[in-house]
Amino acid sequence: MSNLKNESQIIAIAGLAGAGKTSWILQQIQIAAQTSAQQIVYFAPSSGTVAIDANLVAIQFPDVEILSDGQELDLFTRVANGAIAYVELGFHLNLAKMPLLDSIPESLSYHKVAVCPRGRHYAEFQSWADRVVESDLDTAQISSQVQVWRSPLTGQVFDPSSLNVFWYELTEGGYGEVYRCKGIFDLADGRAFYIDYTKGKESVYIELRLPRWLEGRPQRFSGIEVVGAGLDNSEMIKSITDCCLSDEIIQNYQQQIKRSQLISV
Amino acid sequence: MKIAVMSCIHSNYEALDAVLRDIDRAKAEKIFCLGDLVGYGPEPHAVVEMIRSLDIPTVQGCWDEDIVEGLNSCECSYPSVLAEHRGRNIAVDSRMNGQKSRSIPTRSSFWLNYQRR
Repeated sequence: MSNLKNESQIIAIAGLAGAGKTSWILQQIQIAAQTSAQQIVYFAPSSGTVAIDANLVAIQFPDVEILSDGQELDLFTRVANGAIAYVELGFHLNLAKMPLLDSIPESLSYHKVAVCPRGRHYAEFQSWADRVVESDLDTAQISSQVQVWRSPLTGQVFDPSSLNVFWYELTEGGYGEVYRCKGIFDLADGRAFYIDYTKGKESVYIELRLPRWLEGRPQRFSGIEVVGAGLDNSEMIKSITDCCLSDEIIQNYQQQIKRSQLISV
Repeated sequence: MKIAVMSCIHSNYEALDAVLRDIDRAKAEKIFCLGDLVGYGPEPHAVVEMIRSLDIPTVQGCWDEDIVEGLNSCECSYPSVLAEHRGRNIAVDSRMNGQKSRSIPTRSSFWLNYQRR
């Protein structure tokens, strides 16, 4: 994937679920952060309260300003003042009806990028985009009956073994056909992980660069998003609930970690 | 004489089915089960029914005893909190549905039965 020039502009990115939109944005931000002090803004319209991608960007690049729905005018102002803004358009959004893109002032530079798997051609994105970026990722084959299920998990702490079992069940179809799922999870030892799965590929586990949370329930974002068909939401909720630790066990784990930290010092 | 010995099925019916097929392929003449039919897996009743239907001599494992009696005599360690929650739900389910695994013999009765054969 190649990068764009660092100039003041809005870059709207579209593509199917799992095509690599967020990966491409993170790559661009990495390059921009290394080569200039330009302000960078990220915005994912209609991602609701479970904005996993936005939180991932914020964790990986704390200097990036994350905007949310209702801050569209702030986005235009930032770009007018010299920022570069990445607008990630979820696969579920209708590219033909994007009031945000239609309302971009003519004075601002605006660029549309479609991220598509290498060798695959999608007319919807190619006719929309100014530029198509080929990614090495493959996309999920998504049926027309697609469901998107999201749940905030902030404050919940997972037993790692339970999370492994749940994630295996989820990606193997135990709760319906899953094309794509991703989430940010707090674990018993205070660490947080980003887990990402696209149908047909292995799950990716990334430990997030966050301090261990060792004082009660974590007061930072965590959540899950599942894209699929025939999803059994109530069973997913039941299993997730059964994966989470009680206050007593969380405290027990945290005390153990703190004691081991004292010993190692 | 080929003897197949298995244990720790833990309500995993699919795994039991696979093992039984393998035993069949290996042409074992006798099968013994050393317990822990139930526990934290999803299909305790199907496992017990299968073992009973094949008349496999079986001793009662600590999980079998604990699940049916609602005890914690062997301080069984669940592999995860998810398994523990599921196991406890199954325990309630087992107690309310005919107590199918209650009739599994204890160790001594199994060995006595075996010696009589």
